[in-house]
Formats: sequence, structure tokens, C-alpha cells
Amino acid sequence: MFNSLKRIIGLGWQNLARDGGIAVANVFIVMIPILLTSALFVAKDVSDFLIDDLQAKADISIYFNDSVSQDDILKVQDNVRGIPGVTGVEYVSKDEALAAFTKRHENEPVLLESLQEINENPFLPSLNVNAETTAQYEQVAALLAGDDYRDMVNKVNYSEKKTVIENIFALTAGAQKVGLSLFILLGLVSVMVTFNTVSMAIRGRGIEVGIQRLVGASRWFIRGQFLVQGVIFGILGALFSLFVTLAVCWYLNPFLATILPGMDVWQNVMRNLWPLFGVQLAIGAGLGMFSSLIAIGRHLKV
Amino acid sequence: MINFNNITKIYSSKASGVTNVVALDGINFGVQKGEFVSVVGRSGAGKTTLFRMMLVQDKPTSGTIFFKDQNIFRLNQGKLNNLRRNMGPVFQDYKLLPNMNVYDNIAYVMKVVGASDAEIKRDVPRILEIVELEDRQKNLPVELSGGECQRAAIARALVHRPEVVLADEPTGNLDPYHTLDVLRLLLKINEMGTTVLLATHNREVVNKLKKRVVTLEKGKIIRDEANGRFAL
Repeated sequence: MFNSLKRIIGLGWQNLARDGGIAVANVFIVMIPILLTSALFVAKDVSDFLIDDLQAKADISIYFNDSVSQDDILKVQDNVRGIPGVTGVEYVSKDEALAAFTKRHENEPVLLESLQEINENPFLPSLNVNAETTAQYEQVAALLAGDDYRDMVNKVNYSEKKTVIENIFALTAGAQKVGLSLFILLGLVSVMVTFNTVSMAIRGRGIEVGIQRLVGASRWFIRGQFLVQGVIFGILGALFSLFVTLAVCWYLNPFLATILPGMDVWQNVMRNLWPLFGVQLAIGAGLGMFSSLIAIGRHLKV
Repeated sequence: MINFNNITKIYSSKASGVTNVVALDGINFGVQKGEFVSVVGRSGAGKTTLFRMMLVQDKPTSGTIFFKDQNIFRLNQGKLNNLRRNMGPVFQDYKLLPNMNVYDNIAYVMKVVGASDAEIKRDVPRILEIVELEDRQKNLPVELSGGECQRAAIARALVHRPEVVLADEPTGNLDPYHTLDVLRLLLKINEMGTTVLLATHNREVVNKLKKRVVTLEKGKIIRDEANGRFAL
């Protein structure tokens, strides 16, 4: 049993090796749908990061003048908390704001050096307010515009994160739909190419198949080698795709980190390396096996 | 050991418009274990059809073949594989794999039937010695003479120790010198206990053998003689 399995794999590999250039081209074709899936995998990571990042941000940020004491700001915090629909109010002091900025830009020495040049903390103390709906924004704004607070408040930033998140969701869903359609199309192309390569191998090994049949090789021994050939195309496609995915992520990581501070595509991919490779392998081997089974059914009567 | 029981084969092809061509017509004969039987006849007499049926590559229109009391046309796939492992086929055109050397061609069939590496290392040199091809084992088929190719093909047929060797015109492509060479080898195999069925239309071959001869003509047995001669 083990000997037969070993030989089926060996013959499958031999079939593939004998096809030379065609086999290499076939592996590249198989790589395309796998790479497309990998790109969707990474894109999902980026969109999750963006959404998490946005969700962590406050709906409203109220910045106070430097002259306002912490006690006064905490009183405002209590009043804002009293507005129905407000789900959270967080106080961020000048020092905490500076520390957060320094941490966020720790890999950008130019920015940090320019901050040191100023020789003072330029950040203002603030209250970050989270609300259930945008309707509460107006109530918060109305409270702060009152006489009691007008002189204390430096500026109020309203975030439109809900709209942005909805847009990101829509974009991600759209990309996934387009990706799925492309995957089906390219998957079909890859199935057709692998089907043709395996069919050619079956026709080209007519004498060998005849001899195998005459000496009493089992049906699955004869079929197995061509099945293995298709699966090897898929496995090689998956391996090369993993290599390409890692190379692209490694190369793009610094650029993405500049655009999206805190985003580390490389680390995310490394953390999900096995699931990613599992998906690539399943797609590659699945497409290869499916193509081979069609070719075997069509051209190999044993 | 082998019984051909009223075998008839009629070919019809709608595509080519050929209808009711009788290739074999009521063939009855038996082969004992260890026998050497030559099946002779002109081209088209039905020799190859008979051999193809023994390997279950073709089925009769009526009648059957028994191998060790088993109807070979009613075997399941596993038993059919076992039957084929008991038959060592040898062909006129050798059917050696051109991209493999002699050793690998012989080892190939052992690999196909699941022999272990140790068995292959033990048995292939043994059979190469019997067919006297030890010094040609690294050569590709294209580097061998016709006689050497046929000896390699016989070695391949024998290596998994079949009980029967089916040699279909094994000397058809060979000159008289190499023909004798192959005949000597087939006799040697037979003396070692293997049953040999030889299909040939070569008069000299049959007359030299002095073994049982079954003569076919137009799909029928017209003669079956021990120590027979080619008489057509």
C-alpha cells in the first residue's frame, strides 16, 4: 500500500517533470486565482484595520484652551455624560495626547525631532465623546455653544466615522464580489489549462498506461498518477503564491505603514501564515484535482 | 490450467460498415501447467485475438476461457488484476519504454504491481542474468539490437514470476540468429516451470521447437498435435 502510494506520487511527479515548459506555464496559470484570493485575504485585513481604527476614534472630540483647568474639564465631562444617548466620555490630558502622538509616530524620527524643536507640548486637553447616533452630536454641540463653556472650548471636531465605515464596508463587499467573479473566471481558466496538460500527459503515456494495465496495475494506480500530477500543479502554485504574497507584503509594508499609521501588513500576514497557506493550498490542490478528475474521466478508460 | 471453451468472436463495426467478420469460431482446447504450446496460423487466423482475450483486453461473442477453473470474463477488477499479474505478455514490437534503460523497464512493472524496493533489487538482476542482459542493463532500448530488445521484453514479462508467458509473434521482427536466441530463452523459461503460449506464423520456429502445435485457420482449429510441425 505504502509502496504503491509512493510510486503513484513518483510517477505523477515524473509526468509533470517530463512536461517541462508546459508544466511551468501551468503552475503560473494556477497561481493567478490563488494570488487573487490571497490579495482579498490581505485586503480584508486592511479594511478590518481601518474599521477598528475608526471605531476606536471618538465621534466628537472637544479641545479645551490651555488655560482651562483639569477640574473644569472634568465638570464638563460630567455634564456631557448626562446627555441621553452619549455612551462614553474620555478625558485626555495634554501629556496623554503627547504620549499617544509620540507612540503613534515612533518610527518617524523627523516628526518627533520637529516636535522637540518646539520645546513645549503643543497638544490641547480634550474630551473624546462617543454617541449612539449622529442626533446626539447636535445636543453636545448645543451644550458647548452655551455661555458656560464658550470661552473654555478651543474647537470641536465631528467625525463622520459611521459614513466612512459604511463606505469601507461597501467598498470591501464590492471588492469581494468583483474578486469572487474574477476568481470563478480565472479558476475556470486554470481548470481548463490543467485539464489540457493532464489530457496531453495521458495521451502521451499511452504505452506506459497499456503496460500498466497488462501487468495488472490497479485502476487507481493508473489513474492516481495523473490525479497526483494535477494536485502537484496546485501545490506548486500554492507554494509559489505564498512566496509572492510574502514578498509583496514585505515590499509594500513600509508604504502602507506611512499611509495607515499602526498598520503592519507584514505582521498580520505572518500571524495568519498557516491559515493563508491552508487556503492557498486548498484552492490549488482542489483546482488541480478537479481538472485531473475531468481529464481522467474523459481520456483514461481503465 | 487454461481452458478455451467454445470461443467465438465476431466483429462488426457500424462506423466502417464491416459486419459479421468471424475472427474465432468455436475454439476448444486446454493447456496444462508447464506446457509449451505454439499457436500457429497465417496472419488473420485469430492468434492475436485469442491472446487478447486471455488478457481480457477483448471479450468473446460467445464461449469463455477458464484459468484455474475461474471464468476470466466474470472476474471483478481486483481478481482481474491478479490474473494479469499471472500472465507475462511479450509482443512483436517489444513495447519497451523508450526513455527508460533496460533495468528500469524491467523494474517498472514490479513497481506498478507494488513490489518493494528490496524485491526489485533482488529480482531484476536475477532475471537479467537469465536473459543474459547483465552488461546491457544501463542501455536504452534504442541502443539495443532487436534480439536484445525482445530479451529485455521477455525479462520484463517474467520478472514478477507469472505462471504463463503469452508471446505474440516475439520473433516477428528478428533475423534468424536472434530468432534462435529468443526461442532458446523461451524453452529455458519453460524448463524452469513456466507455461508458454507462443503465437507465430514462422514455420522454422515451430519446426525447431518440437512442442505441441495448435493450428488455426480462418478462426478454427484445424490441427492440434503434440510434437507437431507447421503444416499449412
